[in-house]
Amino acid sequence: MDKLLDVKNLEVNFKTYGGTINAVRGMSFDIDRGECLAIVGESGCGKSVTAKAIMGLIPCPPGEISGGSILFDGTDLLKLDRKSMMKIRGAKIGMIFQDPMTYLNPTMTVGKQIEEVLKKHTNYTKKQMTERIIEILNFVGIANPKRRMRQYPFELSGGMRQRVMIAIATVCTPKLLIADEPTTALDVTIQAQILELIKSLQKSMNTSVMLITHDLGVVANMADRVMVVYAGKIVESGVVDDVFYKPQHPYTWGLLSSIPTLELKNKEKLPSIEGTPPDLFSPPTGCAFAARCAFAMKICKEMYPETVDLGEGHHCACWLLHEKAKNVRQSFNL
Amino acid sequence: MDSSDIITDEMFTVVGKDIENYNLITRPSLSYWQDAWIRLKKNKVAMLGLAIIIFYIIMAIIGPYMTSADYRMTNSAIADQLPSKEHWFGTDSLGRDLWARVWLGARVSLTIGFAVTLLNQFIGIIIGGISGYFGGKLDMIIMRIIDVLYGIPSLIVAILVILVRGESGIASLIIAMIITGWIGSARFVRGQVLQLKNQEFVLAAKVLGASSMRIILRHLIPNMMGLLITNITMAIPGAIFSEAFLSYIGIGIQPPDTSWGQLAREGAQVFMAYPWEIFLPSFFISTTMLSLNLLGDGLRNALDPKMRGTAKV
Amino acid sequence: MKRYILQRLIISLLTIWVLVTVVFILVRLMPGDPFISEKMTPEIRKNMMEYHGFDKPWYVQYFKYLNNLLHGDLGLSLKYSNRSVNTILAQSFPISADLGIRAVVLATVLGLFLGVMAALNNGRFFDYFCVIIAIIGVSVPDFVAGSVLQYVFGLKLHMFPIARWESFRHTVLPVVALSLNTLAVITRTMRSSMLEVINEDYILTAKAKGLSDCEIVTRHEIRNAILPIVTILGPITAGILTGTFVIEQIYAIPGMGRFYVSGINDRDYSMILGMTVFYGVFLVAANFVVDIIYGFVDPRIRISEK
Repeated sequence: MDKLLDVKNLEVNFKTYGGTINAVRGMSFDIDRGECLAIVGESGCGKSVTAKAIMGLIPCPPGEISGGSILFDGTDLLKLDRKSMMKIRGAKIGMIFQDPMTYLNPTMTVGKQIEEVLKKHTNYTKKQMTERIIEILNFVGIANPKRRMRQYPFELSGGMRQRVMIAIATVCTPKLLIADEPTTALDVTIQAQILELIKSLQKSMNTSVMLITHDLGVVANMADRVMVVYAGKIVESGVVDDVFYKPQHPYTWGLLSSIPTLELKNKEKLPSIEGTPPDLFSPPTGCAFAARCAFAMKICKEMYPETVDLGEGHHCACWLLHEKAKNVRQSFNL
Repeated sequence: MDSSDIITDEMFTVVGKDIENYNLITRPSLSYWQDAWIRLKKNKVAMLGLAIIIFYIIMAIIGPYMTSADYRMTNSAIADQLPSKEHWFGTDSLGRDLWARVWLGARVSLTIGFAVTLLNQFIGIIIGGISGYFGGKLDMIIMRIIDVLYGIPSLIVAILVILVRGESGIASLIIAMIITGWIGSARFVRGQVLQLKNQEFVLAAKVLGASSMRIILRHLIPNMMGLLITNITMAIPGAIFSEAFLSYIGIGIQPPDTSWGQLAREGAQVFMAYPWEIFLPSFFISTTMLSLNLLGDGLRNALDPKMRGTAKV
Repeated sequence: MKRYILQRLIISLLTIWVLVTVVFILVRLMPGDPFISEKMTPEIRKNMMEYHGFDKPWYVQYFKYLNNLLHGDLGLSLKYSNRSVNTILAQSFPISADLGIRAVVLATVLGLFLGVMAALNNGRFFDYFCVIIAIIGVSVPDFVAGSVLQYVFGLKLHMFPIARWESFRHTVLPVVALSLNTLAVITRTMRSSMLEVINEDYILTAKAKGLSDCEIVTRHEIRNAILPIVTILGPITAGILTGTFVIEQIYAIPGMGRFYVSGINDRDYSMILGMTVFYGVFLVAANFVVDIIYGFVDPRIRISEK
């Protein structure tokens, strides 16, 4: 039980002029050393907010972490003062973002942007920093690093820019790498390369990876464990094979069946989950997915389901798994 | 969890999806202009600016008739007086009623301000629109010309033009200010047209067989209207300032005609002794420019499509 | 980059040529006999004839004119009949330049500072305060500001002298009056530029590196927000320049602007002609310099395209 990251009951709100948004409503999960956890869910379900909360990047105001704890390597990040948190950010925890064009400073050379991290977190001399920059650029697969480090982001291709982002996040050998939709803005061939890169970094640096994505294919490729998030809560989590081959939550069923496959016949409508996620200004008291669930029961609307332990780390929060729902399961052949 | 006490079998009856609630339209749909108007109305400062401008325009029309005196009469006996019951704004160095002169001046200043701006924009739309829409060699030539002309300082040229014409009435001023004034507008319109014409709704119109004229009139211009209106509102203060400036240095409106700038010039000559006479037109110039700037700011925010839907109906 | 500089240079030269030609044409169109005045002595009349070539056909006059200009000879004044425009400029330009530079420096330094602070305090009192000051500053013409300052601080409160350009204390009111417009514009522009930059994605990356707020503001936000300011430096220079016409009048400062304005009022066409050319060339040159600066500051232009 060597947990690098242990999040318990995290709650994050945003106060806006329209009311309070409950973005994260009590999420608990953990990541072991060296493992890759994928977080899957629709846009707006709270996955990015969780990542930013761990990094301490939630602006407060209007944001507010109203509950829970985030234990990183034994320290509760939520209790740290700003200075200590700044030491961890960028050095012990690295983060890469979705769109490398907009996430890199357009008026600063690539080399300088990496150097910044080293300057802040290490005591390297100028020579050592230059060497380290060349080293990390090589490592992330950028040819000709000496030339590239003097170039600006707009001179690089999309794939190269994402590699630079990865370099920035990993140059200080962090223990945890958070990747927020790292491949969404790239085309498919580059996607594969970037994912391979992250995988190899994970192995060689023994870094844990928290991978946020809405692409189930990426999850299958990369992750050891996966957790499915809906409306600010975790609805199912477990080892990837368990969740993909033995899913227990209706939302997970919906997600898995909405992946277009080669077997779809011509003119067949692409399967999707009807409806939209609930308004987080006033989240429902019961299960948030009930309104879109074909199997919803009265109790689903009234009370939030208990989380059931299905063994081997596979958890699911659904009333269908309750013993009293046996008849329902039988009638639907679940 | 003690909730397990109150979990009954009955609660496990299937209820299914509840999608209808999600498809409710929560707000009546608004057109772009309705939405913008609502947002503008909420901006108290912009509405105040609008009110002031409308007030000044009304006063410019009826103001001079509100005094009984003949405002052209000079009477050195009552020169340089502060406001009183007969002369609400006092009198100037030649004994003329300042209330009337201010509003007469308003006629000239406001007319020049609006006319110059509208003409500049109009010329700019035509030239910029043609250049941007038709592109190619024509565009290149026009762009080069605009580039070269853009660097010529407009006030300096305006001064020369007025000197050439020999007289400095309203017409002279307007012509002088337009000669280089259209350039900024042309550049802007060209940029907008270039941006818009590559968008898909233009392609769709072309595919449906619309003529160039129709595309320009029915598609391009309405999409630019919001920005154009904002630009016009923000450009009028510049024109008013230019007129005031030119008149102040002596090359604009000449006496006995008057404008706010001309009044400021007259006031400057007796400034030390009677500061009131320059502060009065200065106040009106400044408040007009201020009101238009505030209104323009408000318009820009209201017409910004990115902020659409933030108004509560 | 080289291509860019060359392109801007060519356009600038073309602009100057057009301006100079326009001036030539316009002056020839002026009513009456602009260059002859009753007070002229025969000797001066002879100088004028030689300089302008009035008795020769127009194309000869044009080339004479261009030739004169290329030699830096801007002609003779009608009013100050024993002085050439060049002499007048040599005396008065340094004063105007002094006034102008002080105003620009004050406006820029203070404007950048206020703009950044306002953006960092977005939504709070200081921000509203700056926005209001900026809007008022943009709406009040320089002759109004000049007069008001002169009246309040010079006449009534006796804090500063109200005219002339003799000591540092003399410079305070005119410089402040001249700088107000520009100060407002820079504050506004910097504020909105900063606000845009603060919300950019790469600032989030910077935060994720663990950088301190101060480092983020200086190295990332200001560095990027300042680009649009460079583009408005050209119009700002023009504004300050025309501002000197008015401010020098109000404060009786013996600068170029005052001569120019009195030249206009006296219909001293010869001097107007010379000074117009000078102003025009100055502004075009200033715009050219600004373009070069922008080329250095924006890396997208600095790196030459292949």
